[in-house]
Amino acid sequence: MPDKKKTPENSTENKKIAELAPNKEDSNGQYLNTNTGVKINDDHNSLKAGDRGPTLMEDFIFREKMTHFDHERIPERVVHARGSAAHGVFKVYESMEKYTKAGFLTDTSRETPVFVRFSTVAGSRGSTDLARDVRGFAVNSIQRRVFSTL
Amino acid sequence: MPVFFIQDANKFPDLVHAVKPEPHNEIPQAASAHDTFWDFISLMPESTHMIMWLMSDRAIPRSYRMMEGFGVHTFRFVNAKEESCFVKFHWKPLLGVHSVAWDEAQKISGKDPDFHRRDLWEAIESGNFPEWELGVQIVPEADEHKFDFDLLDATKIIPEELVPVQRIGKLTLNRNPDNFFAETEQVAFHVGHVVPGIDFTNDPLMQGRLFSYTDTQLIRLGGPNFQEIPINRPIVPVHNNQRDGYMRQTINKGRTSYSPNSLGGGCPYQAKMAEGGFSSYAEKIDARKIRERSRSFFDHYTQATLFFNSQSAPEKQHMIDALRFELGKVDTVAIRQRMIGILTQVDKDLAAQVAYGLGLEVPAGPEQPVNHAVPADADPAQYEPFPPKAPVPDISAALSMVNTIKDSIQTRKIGFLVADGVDAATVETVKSALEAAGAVVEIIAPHLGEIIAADNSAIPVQKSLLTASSVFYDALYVPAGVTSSATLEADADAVHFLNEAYRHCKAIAAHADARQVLEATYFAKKLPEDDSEESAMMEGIVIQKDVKKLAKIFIRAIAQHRFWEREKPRRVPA
Repeated sequence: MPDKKKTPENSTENKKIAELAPNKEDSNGQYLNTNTGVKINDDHNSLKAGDRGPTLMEDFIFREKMTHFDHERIPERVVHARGSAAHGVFKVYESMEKYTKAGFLTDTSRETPVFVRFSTVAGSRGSTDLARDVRGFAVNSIQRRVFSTL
Repeated sequence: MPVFFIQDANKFPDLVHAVKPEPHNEIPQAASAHDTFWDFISLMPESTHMIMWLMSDRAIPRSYRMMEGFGVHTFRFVNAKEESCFVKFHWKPLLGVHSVAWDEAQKISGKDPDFHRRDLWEAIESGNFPEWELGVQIVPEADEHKFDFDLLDATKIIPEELVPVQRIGKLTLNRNPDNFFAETEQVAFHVGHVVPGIDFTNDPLMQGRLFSYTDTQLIRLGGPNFQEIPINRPIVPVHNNQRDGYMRQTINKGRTSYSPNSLGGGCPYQAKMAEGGFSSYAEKIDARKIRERSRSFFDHYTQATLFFNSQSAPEKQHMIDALRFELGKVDTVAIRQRMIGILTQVDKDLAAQVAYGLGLEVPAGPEQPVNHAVPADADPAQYEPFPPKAPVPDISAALSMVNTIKDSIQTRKIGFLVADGVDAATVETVKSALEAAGAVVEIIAPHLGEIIAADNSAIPVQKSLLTASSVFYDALYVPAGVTSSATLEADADAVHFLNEAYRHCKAIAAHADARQVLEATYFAKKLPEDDSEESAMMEGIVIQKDVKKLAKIFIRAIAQHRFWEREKPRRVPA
């Protein structure tokens, strides 16, 4: 597959991608920490009263790891729970100023970053993609929902 | 399954993150056949025994009603004199332990993703109440160190040859819930829900579970009052000083919500042990506060070998196929190679067969070091698994499904393939015999509604060839009828139905006058040469003129569950 990232006209960078960058974390070459920044010496064993003893409540490292894990799910969407999405851009062919003052439909030089999510409606988050169902086709521009069609 | 992947609960988030869909693209759904799972497993030799169970047919049960349940951990019993012993819990299904074929499992997942849920629901609705016996393995406290493994290690079983399972009671499921959400979804289970007489051990997996179940329920059910949800509250009234919180239902009266109090008359008051008050077993502990794994936990291979050794030839083949499938779906060749190295420690032939399927060489042994779950300051040598050794006993009969109960066709689903012009008597006689033996018969035809038999009687149709699939049935039967046979023989869906049932090693019966339908299948050359019972039972194909004799042999064949021997020709030589 040709590497599209290398040609400027096919750049996959956009303002939204840049805006997300400060939140991105990369563990490469880093120490394992607790959420308070303490370096972890043993990520494989809980703290016990003896190597065949019961686990101790004071094991804040275990409790933090397990509590975060226990709480990592959020309720799924009631409809459209199953979906897949991608980043991209939208560019208008010709200015539509005669009909609208919306910037992304009038400025032919503007590339509007978008995030598009396709989905089924009825199935739960882990359900099959090929259910006989209506499909969602939802488009988000930066900060603003532009349109959504079924 | 009676064991788990990990020994210390601290590894649970890592295990689950590894097996769940990968975090960048959330693929694959509900499958262990991907890189992150096998990456983790190949670096954690303590999971080897569990991997044997997971790769066996135990991981694709025919029904919830036909699988065993286990307490996994070693628990304690405590008697009225405060004497304790260790105990392992088992649930033994009275219908036996049965599984489906892997190809079948994948097809069922598409054609009826609710297969097990529907099976359990229908069995209970129809009065075929699922039953299990509660089994216990009791180990006197004095025998704690008598075994080659540690009783506190959740990756080990106690082989039934060493400590027999005593069957002490029966569980019967006789009523479906009224509302899925209110009951099935909101129910909250917990290892720590015990009564006086049952207590915990120091199993470090169980210790962590005692914390994490409540912790999960706090968020899943929205706060500390989840035990007031109808399905979760005890039958006895609850009196304590726990108060308020989101969605509190109880209206506590009075001024006092603390203890001790005098304004509330000292109530609620503690119960003496003689009155049923829970008192923890006074286990002696004299130890350092330590973050460590006991060396007694490092025999990772012996019971994996015991499990593999105990399987029948078809069961072993299924494990080889499962490992080839799973590791074949792993893109990173180095991970496949590392797993083959681990498998050499379980069984050389297993490793060789899996390697052949992956087109890899078998290494002399596992990559060194084998175990990568080592603390930063620990000596890695102290975390290496013990070298493989021959298990004692060398096999355990309880670990193979070949030795399970095979004397009943109770609740088995039998499909009858019929078309217009079928011989009604050959339908009715066999149907009555199967139903008398407890089986469920469904008439499957090219169309729904009714089939008009040769004698002009009408036979109601339950499923069409479009709405049914062979994977929903335990066995198939083709009754007689000149027109019916001609229709089925020429119907690609009907022939596929039979071909697929044969491929999944199910019992297949046909009236002698419908033999032509079986001759249209790919197994035409495998049809029995004579009409003896012995010939029929070799391949599980029953062709008889006499319907009473047909029904009798067919029932025996269905009770065998599957004729895995049929898979032999497609085996690759070692």
